[in-house]
Amino acid sequence: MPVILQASDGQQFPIEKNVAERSMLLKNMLEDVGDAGDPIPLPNVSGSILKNVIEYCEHHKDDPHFAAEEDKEVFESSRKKPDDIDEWDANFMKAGKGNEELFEIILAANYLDIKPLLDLGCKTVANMIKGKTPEQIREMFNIENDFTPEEEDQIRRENEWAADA
Amino acid sequence: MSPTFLDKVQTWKSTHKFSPIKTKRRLNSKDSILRSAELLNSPPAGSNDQLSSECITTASSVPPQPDFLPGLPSHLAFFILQHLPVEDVVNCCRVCRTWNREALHPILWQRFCMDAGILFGPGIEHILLERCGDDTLLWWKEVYRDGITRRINWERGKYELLTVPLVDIRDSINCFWFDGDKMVIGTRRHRLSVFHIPSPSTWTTLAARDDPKPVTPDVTFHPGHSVPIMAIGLPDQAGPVSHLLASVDGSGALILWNVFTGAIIANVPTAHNGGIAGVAIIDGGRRIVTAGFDRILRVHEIRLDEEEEEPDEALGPLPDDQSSQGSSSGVSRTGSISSAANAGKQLLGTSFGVQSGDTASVMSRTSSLRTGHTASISGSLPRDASIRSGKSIRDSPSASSRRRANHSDPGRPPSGKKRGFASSTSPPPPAPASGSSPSKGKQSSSTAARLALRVISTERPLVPPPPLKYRLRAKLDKLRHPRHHSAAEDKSTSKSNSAEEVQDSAPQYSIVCTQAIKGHSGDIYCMAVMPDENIAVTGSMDHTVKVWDLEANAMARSMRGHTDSVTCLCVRDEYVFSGSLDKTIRQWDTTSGRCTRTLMGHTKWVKTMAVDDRMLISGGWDEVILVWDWKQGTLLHSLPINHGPIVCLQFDETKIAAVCRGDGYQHHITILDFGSKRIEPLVVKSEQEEQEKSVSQRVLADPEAAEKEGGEEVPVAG
Repeated sequence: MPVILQASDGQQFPIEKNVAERSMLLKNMLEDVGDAGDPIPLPNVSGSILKNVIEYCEHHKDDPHFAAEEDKEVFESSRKKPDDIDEWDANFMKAGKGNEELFEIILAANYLDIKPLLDLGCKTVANMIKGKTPEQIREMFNIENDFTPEEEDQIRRENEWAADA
Repeated sequence: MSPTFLDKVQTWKSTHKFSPIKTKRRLNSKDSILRSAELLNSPPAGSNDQLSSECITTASSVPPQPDFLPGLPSHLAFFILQHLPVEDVVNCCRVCRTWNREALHPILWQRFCMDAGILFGPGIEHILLERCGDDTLLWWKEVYRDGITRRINWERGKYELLTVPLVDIRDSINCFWFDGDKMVIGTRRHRLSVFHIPSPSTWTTLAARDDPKPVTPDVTFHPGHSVPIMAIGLPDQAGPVSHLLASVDGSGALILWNVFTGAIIANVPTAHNGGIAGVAIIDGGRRIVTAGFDRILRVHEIRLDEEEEEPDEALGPLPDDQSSQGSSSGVSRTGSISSAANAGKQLLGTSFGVQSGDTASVMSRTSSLRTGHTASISGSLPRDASIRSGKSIRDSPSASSRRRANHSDPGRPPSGKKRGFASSTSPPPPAPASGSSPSKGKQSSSTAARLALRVISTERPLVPPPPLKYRLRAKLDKLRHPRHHSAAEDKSTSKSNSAEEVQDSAPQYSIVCTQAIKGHSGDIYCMAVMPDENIAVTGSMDHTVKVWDLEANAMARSMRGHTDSVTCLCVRDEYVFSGSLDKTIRQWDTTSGRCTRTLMGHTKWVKTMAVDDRMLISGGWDEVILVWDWKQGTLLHSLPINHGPIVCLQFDETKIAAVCRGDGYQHHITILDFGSKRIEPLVVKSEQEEQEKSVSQRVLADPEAAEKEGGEEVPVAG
């Protein structure tokens, strides 16, 4: 019996239960309240983003489930390199997605508690940041530099030890 | 001068209890990184706990902070930043205020520290306070920066040279020892001092004083030695007896001190016949190992003296059942002990006192002493504290007085070493029950003294109860060493603090030689104790390095290879490193007895060495400090100090401390500070440029060595 997800804009997506269970949020909820067959409203996720998320979950529906990570494991996971992204995943993130869409996927993955997708999205952003100067980063993400010149100078000096000479 | 150290001293004086700061530090390593990480770890972003469908319909709360990225709230920043290497995270700090804050996430920097193997080492708290103040958000980044800076300085052999006068210009430092926050020195003019060094930057401050007068010590020791101090030894600072300090001098005297008060705890005027080259406190402060020019390795027990009556019960609850057992067995004393089939250890331990007391009545002074030593030597040393402290091992005063007598007779060969050694394999002599417990005079002991005893035994349950009667000893001491005694008396009258008075006026501890092992055919010049504390190593004029099994009371190995006298030793894991007059350093595997490596580089003889997990640092008469990677067998740096021959050195993560014997430097401590530079570009365009830049402010190591290091840049530089 399919699970029906309803995006914030009212779009409904009937999906298989094991696809829905990629989301720990949905998985736990289905376990807790049972499957009444009613659409599950997801007010934080728009239809277009939910479609992407479902695409990801469909592809990964047979992956082994991530065990709930302990703090220590979170610690260890830092050793993952940002560039070891699976090819399908890389294409999935690339396929015509702008920054805004990318962030929304990250948000949705966080909200729905889909750890691998959250990681994928964050790695993708990290790769965009990697090797960039602060100015380039600001440009890329359209971030306002809200430091005063003095602050900026101070921060630059504070971080000189690690900067390229 | 410094709160923590003075606190410690104060604590000691008022309660006799010292909370070892070291313990705290130990915890602050990897474990505590993890622990604090757990504490600091923000709850995983997202809504794990909002599991009810009700929650799903409620929009997740919007954090008040501005977004990290447009549409991406700040609490997700960590998930992105965790995938970045250090240099990118640093760049992120400079993007905007929000990014700056998020990029300081403690877990990020804890991870960088862990990945780089940077631990929360000694002195770091002070660095953090000095640099970050209350801004705890900066801490972990600062820990990382500090660690990386130091590492790069070490890799490149860059240091700042600081010299600080610690003693009078007419004096010179013979030996020293430091840990995270204190430095202890022993001098030629037989002074001991302790300086509180709260932070690595304290040396910088002291060196900048621009005052030729020596730094005032934080603890001045009471007079004790009368000839140059040759070596000092401290127990494991993480243990409960971190207040102990043993010093030895050129005349064979061994003194045990309280490092916080400077008071003498126990004193053996003639532990060796002639100078003592090395001393170590082992076994949680229960034993002292010494080796000297008399070619003998000796093990001494630190014993708590006890009064004769059984005051303990009367005075109140005993600290533990051990002492009650001790006092009760004290009543029947030797008889009960000999009958108590209470483990061979006990018997052996007991046999010493009894035997010597017994024979004392029959034999001449010396022979009684010899017998005493023989007996003690033949007994294997009791190692189990509970067993040992459970019984009252008593030495009869006559025996002790005889020992004193012998000590006062410098011409006499020390304590029958020949016999002691020869008989070391013979079974322990049976403990005669006669034991004539000759201590009736003791009843005069004052309540105060008993009280003191109780105080002490509560706090130091590790030290076994008593054999010798200190009163008689003290009298004898007074006769023979009036100087020491009057000093002690001055102390006791001048101090108002009762705890200290008790501690000082009545030395409740005595040191009894329990083992004397011989084997060298030349003077012993140096000694070290292996990490498990049951193996001692000595180096000698006879060109050998010998390994001694203290438990078996015998020489375990004799390692040959050096072509001249062995002058210094240090140990790490199962390895022993020996420096020699032949200008080489040899690395020995004590398990096989083989020389696994010979380090050649010094142009004159090697006087002093220190070692850690990776580095071996040596100094000698060529006035150069050499830094070796002993695992690889390579020379990392050659640091020409040119302050004269290097007589003593030690190092930690931030510095090498050394004493140089050159004119005008002999009373200074010379610090090679590898951690003082706060701003140090991680990635430099070229070694050349970097050197030019820093030439003005920093002494450069041999550029060759620096170049060699260039290839090994720290990975973070990526």
